[in-house]
Amino acid sequence: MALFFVFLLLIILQLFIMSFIFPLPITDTGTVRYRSLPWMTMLLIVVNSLVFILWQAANLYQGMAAFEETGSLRMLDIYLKQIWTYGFRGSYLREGYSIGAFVTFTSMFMHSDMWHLFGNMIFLWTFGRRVEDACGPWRFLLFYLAAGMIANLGSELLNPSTVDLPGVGASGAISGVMGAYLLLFPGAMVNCLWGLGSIIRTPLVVIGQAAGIRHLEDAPPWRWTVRVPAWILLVYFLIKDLIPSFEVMQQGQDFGGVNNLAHLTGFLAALFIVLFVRKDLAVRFFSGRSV
Amino acid sequence: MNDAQTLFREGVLALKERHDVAEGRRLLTESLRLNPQNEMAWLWLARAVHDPAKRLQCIERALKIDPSNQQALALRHKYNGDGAQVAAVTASAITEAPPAGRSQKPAQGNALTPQEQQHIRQLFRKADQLVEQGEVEDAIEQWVRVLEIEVDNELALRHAVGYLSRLKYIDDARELVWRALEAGTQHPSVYLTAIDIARYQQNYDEEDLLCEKLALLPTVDDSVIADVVDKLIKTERFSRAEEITLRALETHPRSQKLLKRMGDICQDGGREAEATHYYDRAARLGTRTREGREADQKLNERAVLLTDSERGSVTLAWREAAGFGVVYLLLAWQDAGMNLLNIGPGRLIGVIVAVVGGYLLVTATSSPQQQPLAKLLGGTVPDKSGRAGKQTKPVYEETTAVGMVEEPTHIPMIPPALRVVIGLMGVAVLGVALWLTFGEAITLLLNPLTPPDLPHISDYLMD
Repeated sequence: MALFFVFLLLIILQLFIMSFIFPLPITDTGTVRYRSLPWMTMLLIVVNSLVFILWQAANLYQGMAAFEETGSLRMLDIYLKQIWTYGFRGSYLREGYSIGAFVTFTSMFMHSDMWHLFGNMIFLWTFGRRVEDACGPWRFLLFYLAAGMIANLGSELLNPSTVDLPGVGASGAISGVMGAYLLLFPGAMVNCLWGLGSIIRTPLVVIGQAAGIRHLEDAPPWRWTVRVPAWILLVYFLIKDLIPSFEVMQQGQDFGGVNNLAHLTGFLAALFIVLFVRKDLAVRFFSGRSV
Repeated sequence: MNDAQTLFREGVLALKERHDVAEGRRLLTESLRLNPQNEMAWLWLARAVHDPAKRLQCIERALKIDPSNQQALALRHKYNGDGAQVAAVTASAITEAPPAGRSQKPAQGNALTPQEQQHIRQLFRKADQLVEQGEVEDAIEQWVRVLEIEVDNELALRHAVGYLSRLKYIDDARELVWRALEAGTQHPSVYLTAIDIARYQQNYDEEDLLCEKLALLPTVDDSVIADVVDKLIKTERFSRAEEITLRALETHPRSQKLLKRMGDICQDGGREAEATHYYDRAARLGTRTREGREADQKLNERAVLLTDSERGSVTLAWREAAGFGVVYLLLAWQDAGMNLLNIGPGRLIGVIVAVVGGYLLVTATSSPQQQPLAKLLGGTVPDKSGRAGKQTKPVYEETTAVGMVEEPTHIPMIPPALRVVIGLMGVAVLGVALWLTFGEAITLLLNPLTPPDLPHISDYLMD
């Protein structure tokens, strides 16, 4: 039990650190038009989590413990081979190793560690629900997979590096979901954990209330979350990926870490969202009405 | 209780000492009701009214009681000298009916002669001068004279009613307005003024009547009707507001303002389906106007209408099928080693087959009412107990608890059994397409090939 609380405390601390300078979106606000239960988003989160927890986590964390205690590398080696066998590598597609092009799907559901998983899933939860609502669950799944595939293809084809490192994570597909969210709901507001934003917000609210701004009459002086327009947030994430992506396209990425190029190409996959949304929504989208 | 004489004295005092014309007139009228034979009261009342016709009626009444009253004779001479006509009506008609025998013309009726137009211009000029000099009551008289020529002259009526209202001569203002109304004016502003007066006097029946007449005027702008409806909504008279809006929509079927308000009324009444219908009609006319945006926003708070044109669209169904095409093309591209030139005819055929399979699946599931396909396949129009027109409780609520609403359908739907068959065919075709586009990957999935260059963890630790 004590371990659980320590773990919980660590998560909160990590969240605080992660979200102090940069906003961390945790949920979108506003109405959901169709109000369908976002079970596909939930299912994707569950599957991603189960793949990591049941298949990868034990090898990673127990392997690290075992290495520290006994010096055994067996479990860590299994973890590494999982990543290298089922992660996305161009050579597997070109030369027919491992499970061939199926790695495009396995890589989408694998993560390198718990924070990688956590970060991706929180973004999927924030932006996925409403996009799923706009598409319906099955079309959303198709779009999610298509975005993941485009992200994988883009990161492989646009990266001139000859070092064929495996890529894992749902972030490419989730970037597609975020791009779709930007296209469909640019005017939405997103609740973010953002320490700096909350601190800046407080005096602004107090001054606004003192100045008699009606809009701020009932606003609480302190809020743990800050509402940020979706388009600002998403354009910020897009720009954040843009510059490193251009660097990768020019120089190649011979090392691990964040695959910005996959994020960028995943984001661009959002252009296909009009093929996956509900038909009435597509009509509204093209006629300039809000969706 | 005051007697007639006391009321008379107080009335005169109010006029002379306090210059309270409205109070003076009220007291004198009350006094005359108790004692109509007081000719002095009639003469004082003549000073307290601003309508020349009424004034002359008061003087005539005084002269009827005492034909030798020099003051009354002088006054009659003065007013006759100004060109006013003596109305041969009884004094009781002062506040009840407009004087008869005038040659008033509504603007939409007989055209004014050039002489009349010239005279009106002169009267306006004189009124303006009088207003500048602070002689408001005399200015009112000029506007009233304009109204004697043109009974619904908007400018004269607005000025006259405005100043009369400020001087608390509400009855006089009302009378001027009603003269125009009874002459058949088509000016919405006259109706709006009459509505304001009726509301001020708490005469709601009259207000209702005027609202209805206003809404049915062919000349009225929809924003005027919207204002009337807004006022009714504000006073929580929803049924009246609805009735008027509906009638106005008959003459203004493409008015976003009215459609949006009708939506609001239905929403307030808890009729979500109807509200959605009207909001949708308003939003479809465009979202560049405020009403259009608001209606669109309202729609955004609820499930939207799926119209028959969308249900029956073949293009929209193929659009979804194209989504399958994109996914399968990506599969084929990857299966071909990420080289588009290596895709080959087999995989390309697979992509095309996937589009066909996708279309079949879409037809069976999300687009079973494509026209004329559904009709050709023996489809029938679903009854109202089906999905169409159904209002369902949301299973997942974000902020508002508005149910999902769909518009009733009037186009046939493919029979359910046939949909199952088409759906299964679609799945089978998609399976074939998967084999065609992703064959190599499927083979590798069944017989994985261990990569030759897998690193060992110790390689990293050594680094």
